[in-house]
Formats: sequence, C-alpha cells, structure tokens
Amino acid sequence: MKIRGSQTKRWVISIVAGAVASTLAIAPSQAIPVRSEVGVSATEIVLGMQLPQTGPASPGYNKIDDAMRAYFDFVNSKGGVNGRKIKLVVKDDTYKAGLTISTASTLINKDKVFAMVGSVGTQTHISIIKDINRRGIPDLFVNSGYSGFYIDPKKYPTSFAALGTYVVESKIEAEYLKANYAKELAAGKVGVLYQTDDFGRNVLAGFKQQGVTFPPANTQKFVAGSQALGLTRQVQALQAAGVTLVVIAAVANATAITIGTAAKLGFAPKWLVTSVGSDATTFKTILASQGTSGAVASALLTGVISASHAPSPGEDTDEFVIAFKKINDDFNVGPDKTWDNNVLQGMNIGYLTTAALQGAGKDLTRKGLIAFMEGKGATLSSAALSPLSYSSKTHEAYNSFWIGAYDANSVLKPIGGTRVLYTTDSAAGPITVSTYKRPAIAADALPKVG
Amino acid sequence: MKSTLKLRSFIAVFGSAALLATGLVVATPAHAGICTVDATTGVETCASTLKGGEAYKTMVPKNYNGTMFFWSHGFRPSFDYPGYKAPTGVEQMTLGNTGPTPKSDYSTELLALGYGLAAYDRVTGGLHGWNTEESVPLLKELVDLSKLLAPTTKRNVIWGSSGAGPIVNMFAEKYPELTDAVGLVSPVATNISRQLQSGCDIFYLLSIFADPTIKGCAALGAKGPAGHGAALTELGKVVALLTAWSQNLGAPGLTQPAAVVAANPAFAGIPQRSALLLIGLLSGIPQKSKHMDGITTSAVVAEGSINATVAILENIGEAAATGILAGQAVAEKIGGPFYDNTKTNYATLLDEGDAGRYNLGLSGDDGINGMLGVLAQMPRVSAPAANIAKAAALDPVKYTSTKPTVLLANENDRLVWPGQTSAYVAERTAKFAPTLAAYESALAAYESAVVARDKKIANATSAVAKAKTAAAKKKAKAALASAKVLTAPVAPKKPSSNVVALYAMSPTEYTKYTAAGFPDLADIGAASGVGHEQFTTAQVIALAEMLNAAAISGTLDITPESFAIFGAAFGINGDLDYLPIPLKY
Repeated sequence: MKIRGSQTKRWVISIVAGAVASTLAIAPSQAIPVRSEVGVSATEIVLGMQLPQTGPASPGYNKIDDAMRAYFDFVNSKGGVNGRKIKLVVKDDTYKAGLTISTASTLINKDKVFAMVGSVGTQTHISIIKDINRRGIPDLFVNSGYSGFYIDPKKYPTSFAALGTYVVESKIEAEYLKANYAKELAAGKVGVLYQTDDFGRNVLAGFKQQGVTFPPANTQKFVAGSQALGLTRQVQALQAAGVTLVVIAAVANATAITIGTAAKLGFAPKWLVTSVGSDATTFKTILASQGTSGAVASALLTGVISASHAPSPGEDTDEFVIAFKKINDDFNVGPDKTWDNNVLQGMNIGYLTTAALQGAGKDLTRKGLIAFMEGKGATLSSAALSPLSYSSKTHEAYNSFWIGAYDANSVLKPIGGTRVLYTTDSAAGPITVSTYKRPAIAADALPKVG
Repeated sequence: MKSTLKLRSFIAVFGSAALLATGLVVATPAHAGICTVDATTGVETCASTLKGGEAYKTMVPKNYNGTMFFWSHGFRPSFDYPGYKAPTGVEQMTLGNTGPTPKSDYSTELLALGYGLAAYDRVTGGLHGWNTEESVPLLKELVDLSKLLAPTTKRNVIWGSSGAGPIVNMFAEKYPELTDAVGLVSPVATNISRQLQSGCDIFYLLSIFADPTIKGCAALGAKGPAGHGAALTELGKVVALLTAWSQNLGAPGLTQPAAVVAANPAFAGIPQRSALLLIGLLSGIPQKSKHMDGITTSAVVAEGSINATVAILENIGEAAATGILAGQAVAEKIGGPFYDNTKTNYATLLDEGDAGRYNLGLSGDDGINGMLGVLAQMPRVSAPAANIAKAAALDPVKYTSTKPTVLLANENDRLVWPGQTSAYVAERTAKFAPTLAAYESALAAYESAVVARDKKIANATSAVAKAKTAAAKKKAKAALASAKVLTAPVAPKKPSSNVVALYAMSPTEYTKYTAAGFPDLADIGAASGVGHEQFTTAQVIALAEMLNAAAISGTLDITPESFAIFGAAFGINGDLDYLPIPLKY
C-alpha cells in the first residue's frame, strides 16, 4: 500500500488521538466501560487452530480440523453454547515452525481468536507456546503428547493436552513388553528406533522409568525431519542386530517409511509403535505415495502393536462412535470425511471444547476458562475410555491406555480380545488397572456441563 | 567567519540562557555569519561549533511548524579502516537508510513537512567511540542554542539511532523540561553491555567450534590505533571463517581433541553448520536475514532450520563487527578487557522453542547435547572484576522518563538486536505498573459507585411506583429526587505508559533460489524488517509524524484497534503485545 504524506499525518494523528476520542465518548453517559473479551461477542466465540493441512506431514492430521468444525456446526445447529455460535478459524502451517509463528500471529491479531484449540504438532507448537501463554490465551487440547507442555502449569499456564503424554503411554507399553516379551528382552532381541527430539526423548524416558532399556546395538535414531531422506541405514542396522521386536517412537510418516523399508529388506520383526505414529490413514497414505498398494499396506500394518486411550474408530457398537459418525455424516464438509481415528479425535476435541465452554459459563473470559479447566476439567467426560488429569498441578490429559494390535481391517483391537486400561502418571507413579467407567453420551450428543 | 566567531564567543561567554535574558541575541530569521537561507527552498541553515569545537547544524524551513527534531547519530569508531572514515563534522541530520538504496538522511522530506532539524558531531576529546554520557552535554548545548537560532520553536523531539539510544534516554531523563517527545531508532535502548556480552560470545563460541586462534573480546583494550587494529584482526579471522563456510556450506565435521570428544561422543560427526546455528541461537542473532526467511526450502536447503542457518551466516558478520568494534571502544574507555564468561551457562541460553524448531539443523537432541557438553568443559575467558563493573555501569539509563517515547526497530536487525527495544519497553512498563494499578483500583471504585448510584435510583423509582398513599408517594419522590442529585461518580482517566514500540516486519516468505537450489544472494531480498537503520520512507515519515503528534498532545494513548490498522498500512507489527527475539542478557 502506498501512503501519501497527508495520509500519513491523518493516520498517525488518529491513532495517537484514538484514546482521547474514546474517553470523550464514555464521559457524558456515565456508562461503565465495557470490559469485553477478545473473540467473544453476544453471538459468537472465535477459536483458532493450526495444523498441517498440506505438505508431507499432513496426511491424516488434515482431517482433524474438518471433524472439529463439523462438531461445532452440529453444536451451532442446536443453538451454540450459551447462545453463542462457535467459529473455528484454521491456518495451515504445513508443519513448518516458521509458518506456525506467522499463522499464530494472524490468528491472534487479525482473527482475534478467544482461544487456540486442537493445534497439531510438537515441533511446531513448541515454537509458539511461550508466546500464547504470555498473552494469556487459552491453548486447549493440544494434539501433542510431549509432557514438557503440560507437567508444569507455572511454565505454560494456559496449555492443556488432548492426548495422554508419551511418557504415560510408554510406561504402559514397557510393562506390556515386560509381561509378554520377557524372553526377548532378556535375550537382547528388542530394539528401538526413535527420533532425537522431545517426542523420542519422552518415549525413551517412559521405557526407562519401567526398567526397559535398549542395548546400543539395538538402538537406532534419526533427527526428526530427516526421515524423508530415508531410514534404510537404521533399519538395516536393526536387522543386522537380529532384533525380533522393534519399538518405534516416531511420527506417523517415519513409522510408515520404517515398516515399508523393512518389508523391502525382508525384515519382519514384531513392531510396537507409539500411538501417534501408528495412525492407519497416515500409514497407508505415505506408503501409497511410495507405490505400495492399499492391500499391501494393510497387510504390513496387521499385527502392529500400539496403544490407545479411546475406542477404535472401527468399534461400531460404541455409543460415542455411533454418535460421532452420524455427526460426521451430517455436518462434515471437508474434502475427505472418511471415518477414521483422526475424525474421531477431531470430534472428541470438538466435544471437549464445547464442554469446557459450557463450564466456563455465560460470562466467558480467558481467565474463567483456564480456571474451569484447572478446577473442574478433570470431571469432563469424552469418547475416551480414560479419565482426564487436568488440575492446577498438571495439564496432562488422559492417564490411561489399553494395548492392542491392528487387525486385517486396520482396526486396533485389544490383544487377547479383552480391553484392559492401565493408568499411571508422567513421573514415577505405579501402573495400575484403571477402574474408570466412561459416562454415557447424552441422547442429543451434546455435553452437559454447568 | 568573523561574525561566526563573534556569535560563538558570545554564546561561549554568556551561555544561551544569559543571552536570551539580556536580549543580546535577538531572534532573527537569519543570524549573520553562521546562518544562511536557501533562496530556492527558503530553508534557513545554521552551522557552527559548540563550545568544545564540535560541529552542529540546524535547519528550519519557511513553513516551520514549531517542532524541532534533535538528532544524535549512532556509534562510530574513532579510527579509519578500509571502507570507513571517522566523521569529521555533522554527517547526518536525521535517520539515514543503510538499505539497498542508501540515504544519508531524510532532511528534505521532514523539512518539507515543516519540521526543524538539528544535529551535531558526537566527538568528545577528539574521538568518537563509546562516548554516550559525554554526548549528553553536547546535546543539551545544542538544544539551548536552538532557542536562539530558531526562537519560534515550541516543541523539542529528541531522537537518535543505534548507539545514540542511551544519549537520548539520559537526556530525556535529565532534562524533561526540554523534552516533548522521544524517538529511538534501531536503538541500543538499554545499555551496551547487555548486547556486548552476546557479541563477545560470538567470538568465544567461534573459537571453540571453529578457529582456536580467535581471541575475540579478550584481545581488546589497548588504547588508540593499536587497540583498534587488534579488534580488526579478530574480525578478520571471523570473516575468513565465514568465507570458508559460505563455500563449503559448513559441511565439514566439528573437531576437538580426542579427550573432549570421548567425553561427549555425540559430538563426533556433527557438521560445522550445526555449530554455526547453535552460535546464532545462543547469542540471539536473528534467524531471518536479507535473503533468508527461515522457512522456504529448496533441493539444497532442505529444511527450515537450514534456511535459518544460512540466515545466521548472512547476519553474523555484522553482528560480530558490532561486537568487536563497539567492544574495543568500551574496553578503551574503561581501561581494559571486560568480557568474562566464567559464569555463563550456555545450556540455559538455548531457548526451548529454538531447540525444538531448529532440531534438525542442530543435528537433533544428540547434536545439541554434544555441542553443549563440549562447551561446558572448555576453558572460559575472564576479565578483571573492576572492568566488568565499569562496563556494566555504562549508559546509566533509569527508565524514569514519562515523556511520549516511540521506538522503531527492524524485527531482524542484525546489528543492534530488537530485543533492546522490547527490553526498554519492559523497563518502562515496569515503572508504569503502580500507576496502572492505581488506575485499575480507581476504575473498580468508579464502577462500584456507578452501580450503587444506579441501584439507589432504581430502588427509589420502584418505591415511587409501589407507594400506595399520596404521602408515601410524596416521600418516595423526594427520595428519588435526592438519589438523582447525588453527585455522579467521575470516571478516572486511563493513564498511558507513553511508550510504544514499532517493529518493521519482514514478509513471511521471501527467499529466492537459483536453478541449482542455492540461495540467490543477488536477489533484492526482504522489502522490510531486515538490516540496521533500514526502513521504508513511509515508515520513517510515520515515525516523525507520530513523534510530532505526541509532542503536541503530550501523550501516546494508542488503542490496539488503531495500531493494527496503522501496522497494516506501514509494514509495522500492528500488535501492541508483539515481542521480538529477546536479549540473552
């Protein structure tokens, strides 16, 4: 925009004198200044989200936002929350942290969001979490299991997780290995492939906490982001080490590259994959981009062990799955609304967000929402089979996981047919069998809080 | 010349206040000898020297509006070196532009708008160097003189750039009666020692990871050309290193003695470019540069963190030059080296967000741990405690000024980092906190009073409606009337901290690549937000207009809404809460 001199003067004088004008406007009427909250009007609540909608890291994740919006549109069709419709503004950061900073700025300054919700990615979110928290903007249901975001609310007071932490999940997976693969562990036949960042470090810490460590020869790693260059060297090393079970602590596209590479090398160990790395949609999309057919990809995924805090999307009798599937059918206008784990996750975040907004009350403020999350967030229910952990001491989400394996239809099923949820914390707490019973979903599929 | 000397000697003997009081100097359009009027433009230019012989110049246009801008230029080394000559007079009247189309100043534009300009040569004791405190009396003398040379002046805007930041701040704090508004451009807005520590860290870190012959700031302190030469020698080593890296892309592996590597096995195999990136992140160098946006990728620059590494390569040369040349000026002033990193914990200087965002470029967590592990066991540089204390005591800015203050900085200034600007704002905001708290308290009291009064009126109104007898109605009406005449509460006026930072922003993505995938460093680069003292003309004029408006009104009360519109129009942040990369110290 080209600005002429006289325009500059007018603009500058108007901004310097802006407050004077507003003071004059208030004075004669004796009105109390209205203390409005950013992103909240009488009719609308504006929420922001960022995720990779495009680019190599997008497959699978790029369905979460459409599912969230579908749930919000469903809520809006029922009158919204306290009379306010929920508007979700989404920005594509392509999983590039530099863009995440830019898109966050746009959401905050141009779109004037009340809160961030459901943002995806550890490396991307770590680039903006400090700024979001500094500004007091609620940062709800972050799609990252990195415990560093949540275990110290003094450090990040406004950020709350949408997932169980990698540490919690890994502790439970370690116990599973000890119980079911003790011989392999003792024989040094269990290996690990991890990405050398917060994610991978969290996973290793969880295993170590439960006494599971990996011999150096069985330990392979890569720098997050470099998997696009291939992981052949690492897979060959694991093959040469003679391991029969490999733990993968990596994002979904790295998991797909690893298992796909192993298949080409004729290496077929048992795989145990951290939940965020085992998404079936992403797995198949990545392999398809490398020329692997859907049938072959499904076969490669079959038998892979993973964990979850939620029902599988393929559990057609689960009442939340039934309700969310219908909402997805009726309201999802995204380019790919095929029901899967990502859509279930998006729906669930939409449900939790609605519940939190209900709980924060009619006089919606950022401080009020944070206070509700810390005070009563743990009482919220959702599609997950695990309770939530939110309190003033921790902003971790789910503390329980069950262990399953993918079947031929790419559905994660409980191993042995019976689902057992184990619960623990991100520290040195014990692992116990969860007694949590998930509350039923209401007939109208809306949360009931406040 | 005679009349020049005559006026100068008058001023020297009597002082400006005395001259005004006695009426010996009459406000005339042009003072014979030192002042001339341009026949074409009508601009009156006065040029002479201050008491100590320092040159000064004032310029007043025909359409003078009464606002005089007093300019203090930034740091200048005292001695010449190839490509640089120390100033020998008034070298600029306003902010200049070091960008692709260098401009010595914006005199023409500001004079055309009716502003007066004044500037002086910041030379003390025959030298430039780090003479901030010594420059304050020169500025004071110039402001006093301006009363004589431009007697219709109504407002003084005190402004300056870069290393002049402390001068401007100290002047505003010491002479509030002579200051109507303050402008700080690409400023050392707090003090130089906070940034020099990082500047000297660059040399230290390069000596550990790349060239052990680098002595860096430990080599500083000798007086005169010898010290200046030592600084340039150190800079030369860095330039040689950067040249090598620009050719081999920092691909060679880091090396250290076997014992050091053995203690930090992760260190083996890390490319030198990871160390370059780490050095940039530890010292706070912007991760965007003229050509590199920190995001865009190519076949060669495969990831955002590699782009940022090239940005640091492009920025670090000037950052190092500032560190070593300003460092030498400071060392010379305080009598010896001041850089001491014996207590520095470099691991704490690596921001958690940076470690995550640039994880790939840093060779992952293993690479980070390996490099920080090596740093933790390497010998450090120490300096005499007295020198450290003297350096820390330079530029004693107190942040007590309440005058309207506008700061303008590039979000990716590679020479004086924008964290200086945000640090200044933070200090002013902290000083302002009690005033704001008092306002909030008064506002709460006002709101309660309004509610109470409204409630009283509502109750009395209701009582009138409910009254069943004439007597009761009469009594209720009287009560209502009484409630209505209660003095209406007076709303407190919201105070202003009177400080605002404008950050010129760079575009989100602007890196261009050659067909081979290498960064195209011949491209014009970012249009805004990079470089030092490099702004668009619109941004400079907007700053001047804002300072003038604030000088007139005495306040800077900017709403987020108006600032957002302003920012979008001028490529400024537009977000009052925006923060750039913070200073490391």
